[in-house]
Amino acid sequence: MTEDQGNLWKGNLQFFGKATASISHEIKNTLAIIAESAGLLEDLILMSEKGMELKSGQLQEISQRIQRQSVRADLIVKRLNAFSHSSDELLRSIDLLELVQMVLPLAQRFSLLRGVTLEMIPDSKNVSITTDPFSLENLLWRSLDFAAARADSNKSLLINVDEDANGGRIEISGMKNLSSLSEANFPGREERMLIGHLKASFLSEEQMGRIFICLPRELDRVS
Amino acid sequence: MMEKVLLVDDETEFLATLAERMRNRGLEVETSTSAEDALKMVESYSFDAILLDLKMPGIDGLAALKLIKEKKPEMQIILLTGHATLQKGIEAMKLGATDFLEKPADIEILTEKIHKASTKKMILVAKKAEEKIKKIMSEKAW
Repeated sequence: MTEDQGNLWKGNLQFFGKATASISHEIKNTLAIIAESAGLLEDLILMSEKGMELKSGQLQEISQRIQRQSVRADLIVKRLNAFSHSSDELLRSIDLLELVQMVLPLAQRFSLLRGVTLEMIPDSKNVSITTDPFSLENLLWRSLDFAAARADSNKSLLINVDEDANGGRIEISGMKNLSSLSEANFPGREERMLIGHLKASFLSEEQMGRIFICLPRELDRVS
Repeated sequence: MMEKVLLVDDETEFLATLAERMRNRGLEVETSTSAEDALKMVESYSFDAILLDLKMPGIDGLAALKLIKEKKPEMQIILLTGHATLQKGIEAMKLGATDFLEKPADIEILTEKIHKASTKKMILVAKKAEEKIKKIMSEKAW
């Protein structure tokens, strides 16, 4: 393994760690609500044994709360599963829109901590490309993190997927006027490594507050 | 007298459920879904203890802890987190947290910690008042 390959793997592993830590935190939150709801049911049972009337409306509310959080936890685990399996193959044909839609909820938690929402533009396109999906997820995550830190007053980043002559393109807009990306050191060393590995190109319209990740239709080999 | 507690967490359903359980145990509970709103409430109302979530959008738990302690040093603040680590715990205690607990915390333990925090606050407030009186008496050379 070359030093560059080693650094790429290390970067991807760190990304995997951060993403799964975030997911585990979300699952913990839903479990905390389920646990407190079960505790509240226990409280109400004890109180009813002492003569307090049990109200069916209240019981229904608690039951629905537990169901909502169970559905939420199930969705989070499904996302975790899809994310984990995205590293199964180093080179695979993927739908770029589906990949972006998978990464967005993972990145959303961090962006929400900054008070920034992430939204897909409705007429984003399904674009089929052959690439290293996990490295692309890492690059997208880093780009979204960079963008969220620079969101404009709307506090909402818009993400679009489109096709271009060479393959596919992910656009992230909604940033403040980026006077100079080089001052912000983006893309930095880690991002440039991923861009090189994916044979991608990184473009920006600084005055418009937009960045683009352009990807080839076929990544012919993975080093 | 009922102890008055402020619960701060961005998860509204967690907040609502925990608040109800605490009220069932005789506590007076106010809630807030953000540290920003909580800071305004702390200015306007007196609380015996505050339960503060660590990770929240906007101002997070540690930043809120610091801001509250600057204005009201006697305020007792218990931090709640989904993942309690030694590092986070030390950081919280250095900033003046009364305690640091992992969610979901056992309700009886949590209630007991609130009672102790409330007693501690009463002692601190009484001590502060005593020092103020001593200072006035000393200035007047009584």
